[in-house]
This record gives sequence, C-alpha cells and structure tokens, in this order.
Amino acid sequence: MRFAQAITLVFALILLMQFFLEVPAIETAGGHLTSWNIVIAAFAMGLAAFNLIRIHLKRVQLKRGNWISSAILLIVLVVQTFVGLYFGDNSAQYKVFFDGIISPLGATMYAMLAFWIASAAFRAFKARTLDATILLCVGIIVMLGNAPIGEIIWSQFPALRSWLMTVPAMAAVRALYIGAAIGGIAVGVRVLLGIERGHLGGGE
Amino acid sequence: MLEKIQKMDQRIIYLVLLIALSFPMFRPLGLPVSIGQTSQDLYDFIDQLDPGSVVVLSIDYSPGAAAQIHPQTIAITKHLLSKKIKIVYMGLVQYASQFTTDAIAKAGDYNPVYGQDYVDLGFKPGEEATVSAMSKDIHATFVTDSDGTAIAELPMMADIKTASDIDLVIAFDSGGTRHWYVGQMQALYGTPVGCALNSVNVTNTMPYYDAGQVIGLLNGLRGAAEYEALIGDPGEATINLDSISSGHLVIILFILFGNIAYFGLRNSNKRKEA
Repeated sequence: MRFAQAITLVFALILLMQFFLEVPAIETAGGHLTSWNIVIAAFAMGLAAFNLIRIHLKRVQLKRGNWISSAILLIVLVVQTFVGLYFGDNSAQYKVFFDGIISPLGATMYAMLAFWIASAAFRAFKARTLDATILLCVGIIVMLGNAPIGEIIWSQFPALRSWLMTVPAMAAVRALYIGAAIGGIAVGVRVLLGIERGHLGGGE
Repeated sequence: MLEKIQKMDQRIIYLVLLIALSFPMFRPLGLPVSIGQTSQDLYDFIDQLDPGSVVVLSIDYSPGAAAQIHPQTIAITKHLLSKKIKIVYMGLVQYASQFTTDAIAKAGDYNPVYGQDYVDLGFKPGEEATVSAMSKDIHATFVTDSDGTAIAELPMMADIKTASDIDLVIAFDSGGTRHWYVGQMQALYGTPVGCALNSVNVTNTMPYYDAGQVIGLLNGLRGAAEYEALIGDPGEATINLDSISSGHLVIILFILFGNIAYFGLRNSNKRKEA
C-alpha cells in the first residue's frame, strides 16, 4: 500500500511540476506518463469488452433472465468486431452496420425522450408553488426563445431567453464549476498526501 | 371534462406530438431564423481565417445526438472547405470516423484531397490525457490516421505538430470534451476553441464563452440552421427546425392544458367542500 502511495505521489508531482517548471527531464517524463494514460484507457476498453462477454456468456449458458438479449448482444459484438477488424472501420461493410443499426438505435433512444418529456411535463409541470411557477415560466420562455415560432409570437422571446442563459443560469453554472474545482483540488491534495486511498482499491 | 383532460391517456400525447413533429417534415413551414450572437461569433472567427489555416474538428458525439450536431458538422465543413482551410478531423468518441466520412460526402462539390486539404485521425481513447498529449505532440499521440497510414506520410501534417500550429479547435460535443479542450489547449497554449453542441450542453458552456475562452458556439439544431443561413446554404437543419417549433409549441400547450385542468379541478373541489 505504501509503495503504491509513493508511486502516486511521485507521478502526481511530475505531472504537476511540468506546468510550473521548464525542466526538459520533467517535461519528457510528464509526456510519457500522459501517453501511458492513453494506453491504459485503450486497454480498459478491451477489459470492458472482455468483462461484458464474460457476464453475458454466463447468462446465456445458464439461460438466466433475459438471456435472448444477451445472446443478441454477443452475436452483434462478434460480428461487428470481425467486420471492423477484417474490412476496417471506414469500409462500406462497417458503414452498413453503423447506418443500419447503431445510428437509428441511438437516434431512437434519444428521440423517445421528447415523448416522455411531453407526457411528464403534462402530468407533473404544475404551478403548485412559487418555485414551481418560476421554473414553469422560465422553461416556457427558453423553449419559445429557442424555436423560431417564439419570435413570431413575441419578438422579445429570444432576447429574454438569452438574458436568462447569460445572467441567472450562468451565475449558477459558475458557482457549480468553482465549487467543483475547489473540491477537485481538495481531493487532489488528499491523494497527494496519502489521506485519500480509494483509487488504490481494497480497504473498508 | 377537466378530470378527463387531467387523466388523458399518454398515447394521445404521443400521437399529437408525433403529428406535430412530422408535419413540417412533409410541409415545411419556412419560419424565419434570426442569427444568435454565439453562432455569429463562430462564423466570423472562421471567416477571417486565411486560406491554409489549420482547424481541428473534434467529432465527439454519439448517434443519439447526431440529429442536432451532425448538421453543424456538415455546415462548418462546407464553410472551411469553401475558404480553403485545412481540416484535421479526430474524435474522443468512437463514432468519429463514420461521421467524418459522411460530413465530407455531404459537403458538396469542393472535392477536397485527402492528406492535402483534410485528414481523419480517427478515434483516440484517453479522454483529457489525449488532448493534453496532442497539444504537446500530435505526431506522437496520433501515430497513424483512421486508415492506418502513418501521419508522417500525410503532406498536410508536416507542419502541424503541436497546439501552437492549430488556428482553431471546434469540439462537436454531446458529452464533456469541450471542457478538456478549454482546460488543456485554450488555457495552456492559447489555442482558440469553438463549440458545436446539443442544446442541453449550452448552459454549462456559457461561462467559457462569456470569459472569452470559447470564441463562439452553436446551440443544437437551431445553431446548425443559423450556420446554414450564415453560409447561405439552407439544408437539413433548416428543414428540421420547423419540427422543433411545432414540437415546442405542442409541449407548451400540453403544459398549459395540464395546469388549467389542475387548477380548475382544485377550485371546483374547494367549492364543493365549502
């Protein structure tokens, strides 16, 4: 555990120092560490695929739960991987799968949100309290300000929407970002000092 | 009556919304689109770039968000090619190359030459670390393009080595990649960053725009339609924007009906109790 903590400290200091010191050795080491990160991320994707296959293969073998969906997932995963590796991911064959399956499925999932939002808004978006009324009014103004029809109803809707986005909403987002940044620095310092050890795994 | 409205079958809501969204696709309404300042700023920045300048387009959206962002990619590609600006396509999300190929195919009759006018570096995992690494050394980070050709063999890439060689990066983003470009490229190297986003991500990008860290941004399908108007080439986004208008109007009407029914019922119940 202590060895892992020491490695964390050394690597983190190298990555930090490269921003403050112009020492070629530190810059080179920082560059290498960043490249390692990319390689590890690539391996993590492979590991995720392996884990996915393991879980769903087991489900198919035991015919547990919705195993037919697991079987379909495995077939698609194998076929798509084969097509990508054999023909290349810019090939016409890969494009057939992308345009015919991945694209419409992704678009459908996203498009269904519109219907759920319409139904949920009708049922739940009620001016029951002052807060809810403000939320309701702001929502309607932003929606009308974002669609050309809003300008036809009242020419000032886009300006009003713009003010809402650039003054109250931006103030809230800035507060969120500053809070998150300070939180990030605090966690970073805790990791550096060895107080935070969650990234090393194990523990309570 | 009010109770019936409040307990309306959700399938009726779905059907009305479907009709509202589909109708303008068959009979476009042709509603005028005014140009927002954020779109105008992005257009103006690109328009003042000299021929031969280098722009990186980071294609970081999923098929789900493509309806809003892909028309932006096509419109900006058309503008860049018309200005003879060199384009480096890349992606931090795995669908980058598919959208790049489609955008180039739909960009029109500019006939760009691969390796001279544009390159496609494809998808690279690593998220923020990739942006950090490419800012220091693009050739070491992307050793090959999306087809496996060494980027050292691509003539256009000979002079594009670090963030300092890039005149503009545009993050076509449905997740969070714009934060990495702002943090790792704009803040550290001063490389200008623009954004092309789905509408839900605009609010949390406005602080960067207001601070000058993002030079301009496109807001969803509306932003794409605005850009199509700016380049004088109305396309997919301009047609589909009418559906946004009718869809938004229908949702607002449902919200209003829902509230009328709710308050009407509440008052009637109060009167009965009294």
